[in-house]
Amino acid sequence: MMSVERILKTAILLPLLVLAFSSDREGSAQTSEKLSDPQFIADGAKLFATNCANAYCHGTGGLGGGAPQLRDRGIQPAYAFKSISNGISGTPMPAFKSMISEEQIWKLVAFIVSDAKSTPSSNPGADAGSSSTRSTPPTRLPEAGSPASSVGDEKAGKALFFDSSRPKNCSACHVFNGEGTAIGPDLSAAAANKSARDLFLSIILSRDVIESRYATIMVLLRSGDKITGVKKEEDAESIKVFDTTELPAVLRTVQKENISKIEFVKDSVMPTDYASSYTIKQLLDIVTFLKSSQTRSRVMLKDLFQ
Amino acid sequence: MTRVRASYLSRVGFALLCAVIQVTAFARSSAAQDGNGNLTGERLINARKEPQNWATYFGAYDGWRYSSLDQIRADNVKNLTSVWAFQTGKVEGGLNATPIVVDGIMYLIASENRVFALNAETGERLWTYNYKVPRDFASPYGKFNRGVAVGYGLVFFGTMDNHMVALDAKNGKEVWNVEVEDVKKCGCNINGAPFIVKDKVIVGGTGGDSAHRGYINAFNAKTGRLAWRFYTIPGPGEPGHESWGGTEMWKYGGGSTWLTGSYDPAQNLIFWGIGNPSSDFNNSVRPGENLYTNCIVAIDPDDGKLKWYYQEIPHDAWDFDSAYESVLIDVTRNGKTEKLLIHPNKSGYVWVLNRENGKFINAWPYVDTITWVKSIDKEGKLIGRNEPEIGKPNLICPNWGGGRSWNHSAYSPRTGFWYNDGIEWCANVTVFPQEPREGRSFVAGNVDVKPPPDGPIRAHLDAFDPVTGQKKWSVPFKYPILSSLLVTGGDVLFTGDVEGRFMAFDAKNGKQLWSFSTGSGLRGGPITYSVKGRQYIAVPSGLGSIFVSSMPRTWPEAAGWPGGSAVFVFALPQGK
Repeated sequence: MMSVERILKTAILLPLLVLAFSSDREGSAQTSEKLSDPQFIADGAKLFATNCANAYCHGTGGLGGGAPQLRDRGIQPAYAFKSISNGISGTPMPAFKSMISEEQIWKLVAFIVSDAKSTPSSNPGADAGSSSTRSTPPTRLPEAGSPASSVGDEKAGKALFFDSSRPKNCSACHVFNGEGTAIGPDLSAAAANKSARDLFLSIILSRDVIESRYATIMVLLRSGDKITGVKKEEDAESIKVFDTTELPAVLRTVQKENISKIEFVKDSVMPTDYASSYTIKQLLDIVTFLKSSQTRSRVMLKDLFQ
Repeated sequence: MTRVRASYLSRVGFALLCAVIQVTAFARSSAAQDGNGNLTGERLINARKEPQNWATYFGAYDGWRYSSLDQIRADNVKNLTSVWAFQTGKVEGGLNATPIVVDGIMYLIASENRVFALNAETGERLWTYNYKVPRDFASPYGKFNRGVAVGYGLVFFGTMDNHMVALDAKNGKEVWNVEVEDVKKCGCNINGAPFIVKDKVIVGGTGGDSAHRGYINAFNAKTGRLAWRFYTIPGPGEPGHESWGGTEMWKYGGGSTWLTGSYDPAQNLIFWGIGNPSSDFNNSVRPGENLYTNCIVAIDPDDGKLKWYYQEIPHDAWDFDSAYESVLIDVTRNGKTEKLLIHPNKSGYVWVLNRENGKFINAWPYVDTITWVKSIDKEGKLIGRNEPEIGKPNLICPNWGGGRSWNHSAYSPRTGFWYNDGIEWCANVTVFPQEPREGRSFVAGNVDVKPPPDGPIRAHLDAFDPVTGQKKWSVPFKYPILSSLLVTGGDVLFTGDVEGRFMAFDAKNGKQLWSFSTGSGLRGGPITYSVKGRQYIAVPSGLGSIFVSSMPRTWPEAAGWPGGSAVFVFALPQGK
């Protein structure tokens, strides 16, 4: 099964990839020569050891762990390059192109396609002893200087957005770049087009729902219970509602036969206490994070008010 | 597509529902048995009084994997015959679960969170629930699942993408569903079985090797509302936070809770084994004891407050989770009854604690080959730690796969023995520095599996005195035992091997009494139950898990072992 799949993938992808590399990548011929360069392979072995070799993944020396064996399987360099760069969807294999350089990916390829019997698996920390064994100390949040000119911290904002220890964290109801729960609007693109001030106000003030799909509904049940929240989906016999009475929301599946009435409610389900539950600096950080998906511009505290 | 499936299911479901009503009407033999998974918190506390059921993941709150049923005994087990089998239909991930049986209905979860209700007497399928697999789903912790919890007419389970779900036990329809944390961000999910304590359903999670801060979550069983969350790593200002040396590693330090806890109703405490700190092998990035990783924690199930903890391995550098089961036994020594907690650890040691206060009583080895430490003294202190050095391979025994995998032990109050399996194996561990990236692998070491210095890799099944560790009997095996154990009131011990043989042993002396080939390796939890007075033994068959997928590196022949996902059920021939 596996090998048939691989052969098919290789058969389909390889010609395309070879074409792609030969046409628009100048250094490709040079790179493919390097695949047999011992130094290139040795560098790849080190990278492999620290990035790919744990037992959940491809195992020491690429000979198999929780994920497939990679070496001594006749894997084609172009396929390996593509898979390392872009990841393999539907599997835990991540895309490495945002984490390491293209040259480093080629080094990994060189190691993977090298002969496992003649290339011993690397000793990942062999030359690391001289460098510091401690990780670098954590970067501290910048101290707020003059309040108006204090600058938002995108990283801190991201941590707040996704902080699951806070029941009302943003990601409990919003998605950003594919992460989070889609109860309210996806904020990845939408937020970047808004001004910092508008974002700030939409977090702290109560607001009307603009798009009907995020409308607040109240589902009255024949049992007398009621559920307030946002509808996720429905089919012929049931309706799924995010119950937002308390956050994080609970997705309830209610059989239509048990529903006596559904009413629309004017107010958004979004909590209205963020002005008191977050500090102004934290709100600035969150706005900075929201603005980060499109622009790189700094968001300063004064931007929230003008 | 869902609509089509839903309406199809509703038609089939209606027909099946009629069947259920008939079956359950027939099965009701006492007032307690009202069918449809209506176990209450009170019934669960008294699960031992209803031996016809296998009501919780471990059979009862004590973590024994024991049933008092005694129709099948050491002297007649050789007559066991197959009664029915059920195929779940997808072999990827194997079948890791322990089924639950309540009032004649078996609730089974298979890989990808597919849940089935079966007539436990006939194997007839009553309903199926298919979880919607997220399209771009990926987790290193796999798609398998170890079990459901059943109570209050609901079937509870955690999902591969980190949701908790409750189904209606009558028809398998989803009642509530809560996302615990975004799987893409946290790199964590749920594959351990939840358990119900009073009105709450309590569940742990994975993520201990992916730069995550672990926790135990309790949900209100009926509503799905988060009742409390216990973080296994104290945050700033909380006691124990200082054990992370002032670093930021408390945010990424692991402490996952990937198996299931035990509960002592008399003390109203749950006991949960907490996983390893991360980065797993490079402990220099987290100076300090790293609480509450590698601890047993005792928590009030009503509010999630910590009552006591005991740390087995402070400042771990070997990935020796304390995640395994807590076995609660009362032992009378020198005229005094002690409430004990027996706890096997991946490190090859069993810890014995006083479960009233968490005081250390003993630690004894269940495998022969241990090199990570020289000994453990009378106070529980680790003597002669074999600390890793960056970049220098070091032979560590047992390796991070454990002196045993997660599959569970069993305890019989009749023999007084504690049954467990062990693996003699090592690994060259090479540690390297690594920076944490939330939700991404944070292991900081490579493991090259090696045989122990005194011979080939080998395994064994043993009976011990649980307090002293004195070995009562031992049966050698070529491959690790990856099936949980089951011991019964008929003094029969059941388990199976990775090649698919389901076996019965005399619990008193280890003599093999019976065997049946199921066709795929055993990785789940065998159970026993009875319906209308007839005792059944059920065993999940189907090889698959993280452990199994890395086996071919050590045992190349394992690459050819067939997958599977089926339950086989046995009983004595009727009329004999």
